[in-house]
Amino acid sequence: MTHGPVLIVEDSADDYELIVLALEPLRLPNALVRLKNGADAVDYLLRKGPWAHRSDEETPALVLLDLMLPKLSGIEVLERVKADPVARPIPIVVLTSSDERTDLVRCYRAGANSYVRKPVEAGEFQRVASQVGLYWTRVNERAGGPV
Amino acid sequence: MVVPLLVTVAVGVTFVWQVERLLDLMRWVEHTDQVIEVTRRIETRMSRIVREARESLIEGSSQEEFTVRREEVLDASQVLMRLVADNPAQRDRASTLISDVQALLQMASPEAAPRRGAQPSPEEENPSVRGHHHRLGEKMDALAAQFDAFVNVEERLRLERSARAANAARFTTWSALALALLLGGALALQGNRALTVVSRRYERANAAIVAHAEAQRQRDEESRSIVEGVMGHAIVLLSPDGEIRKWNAGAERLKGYRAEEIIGKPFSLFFTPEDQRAGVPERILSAAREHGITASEGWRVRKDGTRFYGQGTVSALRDRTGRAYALVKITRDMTEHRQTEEKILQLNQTLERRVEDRTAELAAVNRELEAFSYSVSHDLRAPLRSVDGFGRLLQERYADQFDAQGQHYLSRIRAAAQRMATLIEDLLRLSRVTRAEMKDEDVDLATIARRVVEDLHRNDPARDVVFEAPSSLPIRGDRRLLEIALENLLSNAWKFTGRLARAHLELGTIGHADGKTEYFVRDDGVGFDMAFASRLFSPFQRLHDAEDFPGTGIGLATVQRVVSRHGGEIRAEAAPGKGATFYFTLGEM
Repeated sequence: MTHGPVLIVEDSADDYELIVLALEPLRLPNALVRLKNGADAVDYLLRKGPWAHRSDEETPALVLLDLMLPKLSGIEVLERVKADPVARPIPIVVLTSSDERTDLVRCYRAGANSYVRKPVEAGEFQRVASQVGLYWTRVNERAGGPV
Repeated sequence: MVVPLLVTVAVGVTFVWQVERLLDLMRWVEHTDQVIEVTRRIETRMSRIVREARESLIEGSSQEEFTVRREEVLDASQVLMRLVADNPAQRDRASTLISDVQALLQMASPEAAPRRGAQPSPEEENPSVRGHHHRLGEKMDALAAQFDAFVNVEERLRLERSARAANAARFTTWSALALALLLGGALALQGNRALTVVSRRYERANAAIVAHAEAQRQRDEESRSIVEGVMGHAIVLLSPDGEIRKWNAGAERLKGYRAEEIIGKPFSLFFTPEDQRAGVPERILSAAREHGITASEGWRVRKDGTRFYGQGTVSALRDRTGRAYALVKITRDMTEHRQTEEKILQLNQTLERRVEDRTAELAAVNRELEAFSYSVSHDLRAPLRSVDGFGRLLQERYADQFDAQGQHYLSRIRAAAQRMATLIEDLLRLSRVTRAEMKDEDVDLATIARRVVEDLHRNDPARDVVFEAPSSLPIRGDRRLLEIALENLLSNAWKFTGRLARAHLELGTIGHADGKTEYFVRDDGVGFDMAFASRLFSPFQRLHDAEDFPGTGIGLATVQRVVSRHGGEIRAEAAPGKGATFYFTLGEM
């Protein structure tokens, strides 16, 4: 069983670092790939632009997607990726500060596999992030194997 | 009219009857005369027959003469019998008389005479002749006496009848006179009465006419003084083709012309040149003539050329044939009204524009607020997460490099970050309550409240809290917002009764002066000083020490927003140490 990377789409360096710190204790076998804006995330997932020749091994096992992103927003990334038949099975977990109901509804409507709020309190953040990582990389059975 | 006619008829009938009776009596008198006359004729004939019969005894007789005389007597006798047929006493007497006459006739007939010589002479008197002669004389005397007696009776009768007739004639004359007088009197009386009635009627009619004329004069006077006195309205009498005939003070005031300078001029003078060219005055006239009345309004011209906004009617006065013989034009100066209207219209337009502007501004502010909330939701939390996250890393991984004081400061930094996060969360909740779209659904406050209290109990099972509420409190409203309101009110009540061994919370309703139901949430906790009640519902206002009763001061502001979004009001009653009660209404949404 190959372990695709965990793709973290996050423009905030602080948040990226906190996510990495939160995932550390899990000792995931997956590589972590970070992209800083929505446009890059779409290109990466749909194999376009700089990632046109990306290998199958680089297809993420899990995408952790922020909503407030430069260029394309998290919602737009979701909509494009989930509209693509090849990329659609990749699990995307929205990890965001927003608890606005409209965001939540739009994300699920666009095909998000999960919507998780980033808690402010560090301990709680640690707990949530590791739970997400654990669930989507180890527990969840991926549809149709590696793409 | 009937009475004189009846009297006349009665008088006539009476008079005719009396004359008839008089004539009847006169006939009887005449009848008696006839009887006497016939009787005397018979007597005369008989005495002649007897005389001739006696003479013939001497000189010889003629059979032919005797037969003629006898026939005459018999005819007369028959007449007499007919005449007395109506009177039995006279009839008997007459029949006796006639049978005596017949007997005498028998004796006097030539056959009954005794034979005498061929040469009779007075000297050679035959005794039988002498006896016969003598008997004839006797019989004739007796008969004459009988005739006299009969005639005497008749004469008496005649006398009686004449007297009766004379009486009747007198009576008739007098009664005719009396009846005539009566009739005349009656007619005069009747005539007098009729005359009295007629004259009375005439007097009344006359009085009515006089009164009517006076009333009419008064009405005319009143109308005239009203018309003349009306200052607010111009009242103008026009000929059917629009020539001015009469002019009141109001017209002078409104249009500036004095009566003497305008009477005889066409009323189109009051119209603007544009209206005159467009034929407006003519149209108004013909409409009034045709329909009886027409209303019009528009800018009109005064004598000095200034304009006023006139509003009024032109109505037709019609004669008996329906022809309009004059028109009455009543005009009111509506300039101020018109200007006010225009001003109101302008103000309305301005107001509408302002409302539109404000609405647009409000929408922009709302959008900004939404963007702001969104941004707060996303961006303000991120740094806090960093502060807390890295603070925790310091605490965990570099604990040995901080002394107790350093550790304390780190935990203070983290606590502040978390408190800030809570504030942001509450603020967002408040703004969400303001922005949320309202739903109108059936909601049961009691059920919600019980669930909220159960949740509070679950999170704080050590507390002994008694909660009272009716089995149901159904209302119409937005369920989610009402849940938020009850959560805030009940968690406040829960919080501020925290020091009691056993707390009492209550949800209920009371009647309200406006007929609205007032709901309340009551606790028997620490309460508060009513002096600060006015600040209770503003955001971030806290009446208690944060260490004793932690909170952001946004809960009641949120409740207040929910209540006001439901068209209701909220108030509080409390005293320090005696609990607090929050009353709220929920009006029309």
